[in-house]
Amino acid sequence: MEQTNSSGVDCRESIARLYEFLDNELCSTDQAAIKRHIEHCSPCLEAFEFEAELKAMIRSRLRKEGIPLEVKEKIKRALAAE
Amino acid sequence: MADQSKFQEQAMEYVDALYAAALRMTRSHSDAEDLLQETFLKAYRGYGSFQDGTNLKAWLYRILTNTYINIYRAKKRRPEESNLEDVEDLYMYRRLGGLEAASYGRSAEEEVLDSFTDQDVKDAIEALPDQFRIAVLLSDVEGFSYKEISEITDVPLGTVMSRLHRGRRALQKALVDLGMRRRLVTGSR
Repeated sequence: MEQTNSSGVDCRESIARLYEFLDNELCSTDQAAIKRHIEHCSPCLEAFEFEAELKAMIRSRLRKEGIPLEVKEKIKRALAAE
Repeated sequence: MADQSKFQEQAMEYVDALYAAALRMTRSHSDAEDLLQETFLKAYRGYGSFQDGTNLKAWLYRILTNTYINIYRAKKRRPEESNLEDVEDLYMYRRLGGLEAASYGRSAEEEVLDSFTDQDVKDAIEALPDQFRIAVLLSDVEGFSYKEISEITDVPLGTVMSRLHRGRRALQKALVDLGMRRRLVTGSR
């Protein structure tokens, strides 16, 4: 898994910057260079897709808890008393 | 300058998300309730200094995070980041890679991911030391940018990235260990 293509980014650099890529934290030039690499490198593409799914899974599992109504009301009362 | 009378209507919009974050931080309903109330009172009192038009959500998370760290770290003297095991890149992916053949249609990797329940992921994230847990929560659950997380937690950008990336990899390891105990994951490729 050591391919470099016309984008100038190799597998090692792509994997090192995987999280920044998935978090949309790269500048547009770097984002595009990594995108070009993974489009032509199926082992990297698979790894990126897996990490994206994992990130989405974690987000969905931790999302659901709403605040109990009585806690919300208590906070509103505390604010009203200020 | 922000108008205090508007505070409730604007800040209450984030109360559910802040409560969920408080729960993941304190790991207890009653502590989360206290933390949230303290956060809202502090925010209300400080609302005059909040700049209208800037990021209210990030400002509330900053107060929540600081309040948590001040109250709970002082109370429990939790060990800090030094004791988080270093885990390599793609830890989980590499350990699931051998499963591909076992599936029909859907990939076996997806099946393993789907098998983790809400409670599994909550337990795994709650086991992370504070700094890592907070970085992962703020990024993966709340969707804050690295720069916003840096402002919320008052650490440089490079520290945010290091905590976030190490925290995520440690979380992967915890989930892989759980998968192995359930015999969903067999080990290395």
